[in-house]
Amino acid sequence: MAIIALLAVTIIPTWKQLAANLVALLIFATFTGVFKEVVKRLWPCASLLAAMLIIHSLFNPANRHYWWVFGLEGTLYALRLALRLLCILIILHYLISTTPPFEFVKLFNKIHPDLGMIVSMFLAIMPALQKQFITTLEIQEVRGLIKTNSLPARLRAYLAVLVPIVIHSINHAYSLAQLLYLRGYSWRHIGLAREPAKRSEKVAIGLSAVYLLANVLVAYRWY
Amino acid sequence: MNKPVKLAIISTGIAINIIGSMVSSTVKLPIFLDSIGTMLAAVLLGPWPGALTGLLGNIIQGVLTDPASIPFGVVNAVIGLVVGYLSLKRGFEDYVTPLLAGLILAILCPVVGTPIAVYLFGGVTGGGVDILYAIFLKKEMGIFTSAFLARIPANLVDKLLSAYMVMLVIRKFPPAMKMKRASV
Repeated sequence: MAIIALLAVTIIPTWKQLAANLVALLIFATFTGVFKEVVKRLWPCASLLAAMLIIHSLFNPANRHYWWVFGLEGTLYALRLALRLLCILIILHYLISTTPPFEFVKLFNKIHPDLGMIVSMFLAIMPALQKQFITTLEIQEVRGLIKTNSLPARLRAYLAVLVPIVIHSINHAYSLAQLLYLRGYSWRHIGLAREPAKRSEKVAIGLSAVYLLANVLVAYRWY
Repeated sequence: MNKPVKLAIISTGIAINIIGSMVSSTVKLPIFLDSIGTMLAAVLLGPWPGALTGLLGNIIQGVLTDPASIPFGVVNAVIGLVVGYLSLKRGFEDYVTPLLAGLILAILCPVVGTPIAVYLFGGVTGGGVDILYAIFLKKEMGIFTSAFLARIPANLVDKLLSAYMVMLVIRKFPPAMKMKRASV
C-alpha cells in the first residue's frame, strides 16, 4: 500500500496537486488516529525544509523574477520539493506508526528467511549495544576522557568509546554465530508458509490503487 | 559455520553503524561516521555481504526511525562493495588501503548520493555542507554540480576517518579473533 502511495506522490508534477495530496494525507492520518504521532515524527525535518526554501529562494540559478531578495522560480522549485518530501515522509511515518516491528521482521522473512534472521538478530543486539555504549562512555569519563572543543581531543574520545564497543560486539557476534550453528540453523527449517492476503489488506491495496489512478488522471488533465 | 557467522556479523555491522553515529553526536564531531559497521562487515566478510550490510542498515533504520535514510542505502551499499574489494585485493591493515578507500569513496559516494539528494531535498542536507552548496549556487554552477562539489570535502574527511578507524579496529583484534576472521 505504501509503495503504491509513494509511486503516486513521485509522479505528481505541480505544487498545487502536491498541496492537495498533503491535505488529503493529513486528513487520512487524522481519521485513522495517528495525526499527532506523524506530526511529532515530522518535526525534526522542519530545519531541513526551512533550509531548502531559504537556499533556493535566495541562490537558485534559475531565479529571474524577484520579490525583494527572494527569487520566484527558486521558491516554487523549493516549495514543490518540500511538499513532495512532506507527502513521502507522511506516508512512511504512517507506515511506521501503524506497523509493529515484528510485522517488519515477518515481511523480511517472507522475502528471504536469512533477511528475517538478520533483522531479528539486529533487534536483539541493538539494546545490548546501547547499554554497552553507555557503560563504556561512563568508564572512559571516569578514566579522564574530557569532551573539549578541540577536534583531535574529540576524535580521541570517539576512538576511546567506539573501539571497545566494536571489539566487544564482534566477539558477541561470533558467540551468537556459534549458538546458531549448534542449534543447526538453516533457513530451510524456519521458512514460513505464505499466508493468503487478508480482506483488510486487499481493501488497503485497492484504495491505494484508486489514489494512484486519481493522481495520474489529475496530472494528465493538468497538461 | 560460515553462514551463521555472516548473518551475525551483518546484523552487528548494522548496529555498529547506528552506534557509530550516536557516539559521533555524543562527542560532538561535525561528521557522520555512520558507515564504520558497513566497512567492518566488508573487510571481515567481503564485498557483497558488506553491500548487504549497508543497504539493509539504511532500510532498517528507515523503517524503524528515519524514513529519509532509506534511499541512501544505495550509497552505503557502494561503500561495502568498494571496501570489500579493496580488502580482498590488499588486506586492510596497512596505511595505504584505507587512504585508497577514502579517496575512492570521497568521489563515488557523491556520484551515487547527489542525484538522490537533489531529487528528494533539492541538494540541501540541513547541515554545514549547505553553506558550501549556497556559495556554489551563488556562482551559478547549477544545482547538481553545486550539490556534488559541496559533498566532496565532507565525504573525504568522513570516509577517510571511517576507513582508518576500521583499520585500527582490525589491528586491535586479539590474535584469536584474527584467526576466526581468516577462517570466515
